[in-house]
Amino acid sequence: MSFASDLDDFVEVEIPKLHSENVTRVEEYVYNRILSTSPVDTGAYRANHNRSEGKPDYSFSKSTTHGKQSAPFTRDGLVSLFVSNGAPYAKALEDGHSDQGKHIYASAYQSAKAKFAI
Amino acid sequence: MSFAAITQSSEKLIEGWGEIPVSYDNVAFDKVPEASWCRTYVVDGDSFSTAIGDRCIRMTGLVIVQIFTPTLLGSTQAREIADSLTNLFINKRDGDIQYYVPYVTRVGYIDKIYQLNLSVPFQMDSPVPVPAPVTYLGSLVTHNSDKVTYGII
Repeated sequence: MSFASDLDDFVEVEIPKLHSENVTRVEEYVYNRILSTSPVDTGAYRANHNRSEGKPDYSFSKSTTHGKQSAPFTRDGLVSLFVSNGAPYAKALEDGHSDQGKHIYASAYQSAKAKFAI
Repeated sequence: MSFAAITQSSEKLIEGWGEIPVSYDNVAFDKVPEASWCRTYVVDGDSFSTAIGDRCIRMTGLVIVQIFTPTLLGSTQAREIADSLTNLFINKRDGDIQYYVPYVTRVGYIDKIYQLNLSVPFQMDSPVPVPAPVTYLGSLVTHNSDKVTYGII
């Protein structure tokens, strides 16, 4: 076993694996935090927090079943995971125009930043 | 640990600022027509233990200041107000509360008014509070975080 091969293994296997584990952990925390602080009227806003890999998913449906995921996560390599919302009034909620819920994503981001020191 | 401390701290800072009228959370406020004003409130984030044994509690969140200025006067006025407010909070330490670097989000024209949001992330690290002593029928029971003491009084 040479030093060079150990380093290769670390760079090619261990780093993506650690990255994937950490990203998954943070994404799950952020998603659950967003879900728990979402205002509910019809339930459509809360049901449209889309979880996706590689790029944000801004699709919107009137379904009130939450946990929508555009495709199963491959968690392959240095992936980026996204939580996004395509509801037409999602931006207004984020800007603070509702007394029921304000700045939902910003608050979840700030919480994750403090919890995971990112 | 105090959920009241962040409101007291941020509102005290803004009260001392006093450049434009401010609407505080759950307080009556009369908007001044055709003039700039702002609204402030706290959005609470998560709270959690940061040390083994629950000796330190961390609370997080955002202090939000929504800045409203008249329309068709450009965005500079709103941004100058945001600058002024930023100077109040940026990296400021107030007791257990640490404010970080504020950021601005442009909301734009809504209901004939121009809006800019200033968000100030904060974090508060504090020890777990020790409950006050409780008296039960002639016995004094004192609590602290790791033991309970009984004594006759």
